[in-house]
Amino acid sequence: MEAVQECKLPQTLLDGVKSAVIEVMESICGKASEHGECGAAELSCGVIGVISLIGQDAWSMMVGLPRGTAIAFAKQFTGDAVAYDSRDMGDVVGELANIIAGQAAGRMESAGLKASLSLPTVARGNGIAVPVQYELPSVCMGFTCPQGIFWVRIASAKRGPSGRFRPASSTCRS
Amino acid sequence: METIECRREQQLPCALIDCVTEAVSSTFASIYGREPQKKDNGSAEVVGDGVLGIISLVGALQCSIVLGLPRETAKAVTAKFAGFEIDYEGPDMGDVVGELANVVAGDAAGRLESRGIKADLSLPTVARGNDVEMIQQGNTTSRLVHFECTGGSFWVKISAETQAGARN
Repeated sequence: MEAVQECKLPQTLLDGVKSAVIEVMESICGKASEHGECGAAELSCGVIGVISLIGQDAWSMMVGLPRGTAIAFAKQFTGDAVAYDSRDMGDVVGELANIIAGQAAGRMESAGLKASLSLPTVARGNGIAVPVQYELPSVCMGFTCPQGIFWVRIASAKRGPSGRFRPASSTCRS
Repeated sequence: METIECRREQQLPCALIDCVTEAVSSTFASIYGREPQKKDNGSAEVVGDGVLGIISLVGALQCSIVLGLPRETAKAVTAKFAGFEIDYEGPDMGDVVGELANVVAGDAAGRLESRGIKADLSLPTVARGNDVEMIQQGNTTSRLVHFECTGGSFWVKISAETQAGARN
């Protein structure tokens, strides 16, 4: 699968997140692989989990699950049916984002890039889109597991002199 | 400045609520020339057809701040903030709402630091959609504050880990 890449991200980050997603989803669902339908998944009704890592640089990760995938995944993850509209669904998707980001952070730390995880934030809605932010390098990757398709978007930035973050490269949107 | 009622049993640090609501008031006052009006706290956090600006603070406090802007408010506020009209469906909407969340959270972080609570900002994330709502997680406690500004109504949701305790 070819990732929808708007601008260049550190390869260590890209590889770390991709392998974390596959490993975590394989351990929960038995099987997981990449596929190329990121754009379509982004437009579906569903749930997104957002988590950030902050160190010398920062990156954020969004996991997007279409409604059907979210319901099937939550059942696989918890062993019980979880209502799509319930608060438990927030816990499941937040925990999924947390586990994937934790795994990825471990890989990044092995590469000398230590970072702290934020709280995950979870939102639900129809037609959810995550606009690419100007000059922020980001990649959207589509995945599939037996419970359905899902996507993961990552973005990164470097810390500026003021302590706020700025894009890691100059121009990412033409 | 009017203060938001804060109770210890909420387990959300009062300093956090104060600093974020002051930051929102200050940011929107700089945009519109007057502070937004805090409305009675509603339970609804559905932004409907609208945009969410999500940003986290990591450090002495683990918390997240979500700015919820219904479509018409988003169009009005971003036009005023940027100085020109922003296409709601276009990519610039993500930039401007992300920057707005960044400004609010940066202001809040500065206020927290002046109270001895140091925390770093994450990257902002923006999500747009229909019937978009935040889902409260079991290990977090949160406070929803509604505002009304010249550009329309909006809300801010402040969440922190329950175990973080009340650091007032």
